[in-house]
Amino acid sequence: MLGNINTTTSLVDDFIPQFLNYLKKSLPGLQHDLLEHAGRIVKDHASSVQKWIAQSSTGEISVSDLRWLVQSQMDLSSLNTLKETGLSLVKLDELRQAMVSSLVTTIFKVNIFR
Amino acid sequence: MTSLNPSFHPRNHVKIFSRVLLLATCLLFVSCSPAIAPFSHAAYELAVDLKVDSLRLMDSAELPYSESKKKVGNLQVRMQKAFEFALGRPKNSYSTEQWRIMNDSERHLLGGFLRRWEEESSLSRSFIVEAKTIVAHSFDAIIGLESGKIGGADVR
Repeated sequence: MLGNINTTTSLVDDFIPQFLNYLKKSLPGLQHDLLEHAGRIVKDHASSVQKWIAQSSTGEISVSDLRWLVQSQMDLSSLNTLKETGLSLVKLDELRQAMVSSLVTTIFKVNIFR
Repeated sequence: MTSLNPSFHPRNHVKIFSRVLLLATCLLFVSCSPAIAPFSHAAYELAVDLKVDSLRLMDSAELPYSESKKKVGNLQVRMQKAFEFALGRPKNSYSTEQWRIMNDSERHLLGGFLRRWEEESSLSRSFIVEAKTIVAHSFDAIIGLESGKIGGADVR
């Protein structure tokens, strides 16, 4: 009984720092992905619009075509943002699953229910 | 006189109990329902099929709309079904919103393209090429989100 009480406290004391470390490693990754995505959006917008302006000046596309395409780029950005946000949630779910797995493994290793 | 074992002090019991409670709370937290819907093979296939068929139909936009009206109507029904399928799945709001924007005739993706084609009867080849690129990337965003969900490793 005394042995079990000591193992329970050490289990909790071991688990919490591990969990915090895991979070620290995963969350910067998420932040980095979102920032990269934002950078890509700006880059894509600029090069596409430049191309369409050139096409419009030669008459290859009309002014209303140009306007439509610029607006379509915005809508595409919305879809990409939804995608990146959704994928961030997937990463959080994966993190959660990993935590459960780690916790269950640790509990059974320590065998506190003896 | 028996000496009291300090490990059996009531304060220790409270400490142990609170730590076990913390552990149980952590376990409860991590076992909560997922934040986003899992991968659906049906949704993935639907998106891939619609991408191929949409891009093929957009190529016909150089010709009068009246010649492709039936095909456009069929595609719009299939797109609406894809939206409804996404809407019906729990925790699937991001994919649902993607389909909504894609279908919306007031916006500037596939729904908007088909509306423009109808209004102007035919569209220029240069415009079609640029619009196809945008629509293709839009479908890639939908497909990318679906294949990125848990369970979609086989199609990534």
